Amino acid sequence: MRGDPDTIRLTVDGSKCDGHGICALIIPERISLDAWGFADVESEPIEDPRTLARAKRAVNACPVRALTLAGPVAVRLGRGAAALPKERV
Amino acid sequence: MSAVEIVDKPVLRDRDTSMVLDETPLFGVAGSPGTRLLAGPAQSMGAESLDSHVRRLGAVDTIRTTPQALRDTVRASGLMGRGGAGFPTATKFDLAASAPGTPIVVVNASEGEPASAKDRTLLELRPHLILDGADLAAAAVGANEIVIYLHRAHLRSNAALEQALAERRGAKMDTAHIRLIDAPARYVAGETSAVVSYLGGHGAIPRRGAKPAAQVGIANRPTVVNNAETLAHLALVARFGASWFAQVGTPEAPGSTLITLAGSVVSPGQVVEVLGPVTIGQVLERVGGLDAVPRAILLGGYAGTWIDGETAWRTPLDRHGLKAHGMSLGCGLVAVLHDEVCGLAETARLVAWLAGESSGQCGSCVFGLPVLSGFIDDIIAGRSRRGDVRRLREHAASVRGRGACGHPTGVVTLVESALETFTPELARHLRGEVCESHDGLDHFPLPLSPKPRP
Repeated sequence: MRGDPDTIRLTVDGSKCDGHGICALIIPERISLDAWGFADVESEPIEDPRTLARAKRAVNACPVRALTLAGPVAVRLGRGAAALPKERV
Repeated sequence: MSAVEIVDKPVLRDRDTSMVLDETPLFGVAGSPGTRLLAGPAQSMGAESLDSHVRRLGAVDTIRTTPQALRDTVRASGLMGRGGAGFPTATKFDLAASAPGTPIVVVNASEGEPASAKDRTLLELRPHLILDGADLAAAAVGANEIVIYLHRAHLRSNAALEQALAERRGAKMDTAHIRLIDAPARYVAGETSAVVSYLGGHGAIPRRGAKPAAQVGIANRPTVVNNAETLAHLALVARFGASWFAQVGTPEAPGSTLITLAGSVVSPGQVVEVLGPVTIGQVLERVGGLDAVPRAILLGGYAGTWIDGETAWRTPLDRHGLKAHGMSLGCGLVAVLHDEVCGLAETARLVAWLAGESSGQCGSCVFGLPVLSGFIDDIIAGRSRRGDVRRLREHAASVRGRGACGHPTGVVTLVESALETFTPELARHLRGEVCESHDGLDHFPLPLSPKPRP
């Protein structure tokens, strides 16, 4: 569930997701919206750096902070990271 | 990894409940020879007193050990949680012991699964075993506080608990501070993160924390939430050791296991301790009083797996082997479908109820489960349209794995296993034939006044 600490995974907290849908526009290869507009996230490890960059943008774009990028501490979320919840290690 | 061993349907004529099959009993009820958790007085004797408990097993404070040694023993025993998830108890203890803050131990005896009775029965018959386990868990992680999370409605087990606590106070055996907390009567209220949320002063709804409750729980303190049965096992592991514990069960799932027989059996709510390789059929025949293979059983809980009767009959009751076959023993519920009840109609009832038991947080659950329920209701009522079964399957697949807790996925498992198990019933419903399901008292029990679906 919490996965291998050495991989980077995008996850959604379904209890926070309100279905704004911005994430699915940013990273459609990993996030689709279900019949009601809630994010359905493909949580396979992210290896491609461009996918990772989009994943970070999606995390930062979520208005309710429902998305998390779980992985090694070395993965920084870039600008605005300080305001985000601590990454899962 | 051992595959599920399929054995032939046993022919056992006598149906005494003493369970003496041979030298080493494979299962038993309270007081049966060879049992562990249920060893001691017979069921009719009620709660075992502190005197009897200490005479039989010795007092827990005579166990000389250090927290580290105790955790090592638990690790070596391979004890896994008996609430359903099967998480290694030692890992939970280690996480709590190494996390900052003074840990809290929670005894989860809430048993929100409607037909399950193993935790309340154990509390009712062997309260001191559970309380010993709670004391030992507190010692193992360095906790000074124990919360017993239970249901007010379980009158007999709560009375036994109060009596047992009074006995321990009288004997000056109360070490940690113990509080009893009444759990909300909701299906998901017993899930670990919901327990922690509730005891922390919030709603009893599952949360998805960045860290497990064992590290960051109630008031950010490490919180070890253990199922009542797990703690009772701990009380025996601490006394008799890891290798004794693993003498029964399987290498992958060591120790004995409590199961509850429910539904169409002679005494629904009867708790059985499984000690060795035994099939579901053997237990149903010897304790459940079944003389014929039932149409189907529901395994693991209401959000569990339907298995057709023939398969179930020869399937071993072995947590690990079941898991390897995509089935889960869950909380140990074995519910037998009544011969006059249509499995699909029963599924429809359960799904409607389970949909109403959503904690209302996650969209996929709040909106997804009522849709599942609607599809099945339509099929049952003969209102379904062409392609509805396909749409139901697709919809179920889209809900699987979603949400902050296992609730929606459990309901999907129930629905998918029903479609697989009740194929002939499904075909009859789709042809518009009248469902002959008996509409009476033969259904699985559900708490009164299910909440209306959103």
